[in-house]
Amino acid sequence: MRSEQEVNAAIDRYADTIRRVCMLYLKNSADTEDVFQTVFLKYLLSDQVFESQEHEKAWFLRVAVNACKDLRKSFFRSRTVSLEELTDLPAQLPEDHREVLEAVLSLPRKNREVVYLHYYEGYTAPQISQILGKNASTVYTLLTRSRQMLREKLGGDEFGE
Amino acid sequence: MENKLKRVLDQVTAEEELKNRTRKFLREERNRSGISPWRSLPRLIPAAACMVLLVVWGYWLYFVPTATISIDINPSLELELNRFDRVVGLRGYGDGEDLAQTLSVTHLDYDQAMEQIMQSQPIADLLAQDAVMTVGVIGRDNAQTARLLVSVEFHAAQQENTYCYQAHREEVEHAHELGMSYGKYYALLELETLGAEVTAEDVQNMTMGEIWDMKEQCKNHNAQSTSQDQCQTESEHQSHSGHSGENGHNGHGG
Repeated sequence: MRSEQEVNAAIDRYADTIRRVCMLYLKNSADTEDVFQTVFLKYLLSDQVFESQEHEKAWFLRVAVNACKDLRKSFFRSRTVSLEELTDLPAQLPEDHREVLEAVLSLPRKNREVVYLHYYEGYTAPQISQILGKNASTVYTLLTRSRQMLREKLGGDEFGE
Repeated sequence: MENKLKRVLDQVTAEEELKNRTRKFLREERNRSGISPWRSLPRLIPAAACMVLLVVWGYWLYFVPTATISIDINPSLELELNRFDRVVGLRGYGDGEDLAQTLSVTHLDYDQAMEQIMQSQPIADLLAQDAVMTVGVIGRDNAQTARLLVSVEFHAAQQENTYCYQAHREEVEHAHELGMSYGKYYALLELETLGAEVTAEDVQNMTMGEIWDMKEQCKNHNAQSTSQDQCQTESEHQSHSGHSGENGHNGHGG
């Protein structure tokens, strides 16, 4: 079991990342809090030794994604996320920024998660495949398809390779 | 556009309140369980239950006897076999109790166990004197008892004066209550069917040769007589007549 100091440091390091992952999957703050508790409790109890900060971050992302998916599978949870229902979004977003976020969040979940991991977290397709437990070729396909869908929604070719 | 996405998502941060509630939750979890080994207990219960069931099932599968081979010559021995035809118990009756103590046949295949019994000193000596021996296969599973009987008959064919039979457990279920082996009890039932006037105590003290002679006497008697007279035990019979059976035992008849 990890020390309280160690856990608090991890919360400081990864809380924002996990919050963003939750935003991709969940629609209310109660679910987000559930995922936070699940992820950090796993960290508290885990004996996993991390080779590097990157390794640790990938672990948190994988555990958070799985926790969100598990929560969504739960019978009493809603399975859809609409932007209107999202809570705690940045209040004063410029219109064009909001448009981008809306476009990303309107993608199917499997596309949304690869877009986030690639364009925001900067992971490559093979790295994403490890985090999500998918084939690298599937991730490439999802990224290509997501780019097409975003271009259709937003116009232009801002989302590059 | 990518930059816009980054800028938007940069603004999505975990609220301090959320972080504090998470810290509080973890602190409580840590204190509540000491996060001791007991924490994982609920998860271990189904696994432990499965393990217990597996052990009980395995025990039942292996150790619960499904058939008995009753070897009677006086002494009497009973081999209890599991569904895999392995010996899971050995019981002796009369002089057989002492003999059973000297044999080590548990977990052996039944034919190895029988071989050891046949080669044991008291049994080998009696067989050398052409004593009558019966080997009965008793069980509830007719398929198993029939299979065992074939094998037992094969072994018995190598011995003079050895007779085999098969019986259902229910037929002889009262044997042990009377302190008799299944084989002796089965013989008692046969004698009663033939009209012999004989008690369990009489049969307990008789050798199989004596019982066999008595059966023959009764059969002969029944064939010759239409009266309701019954065959008699040795003590009653000795006052009437003497008869020497095939192994030199006294016969019985009325």
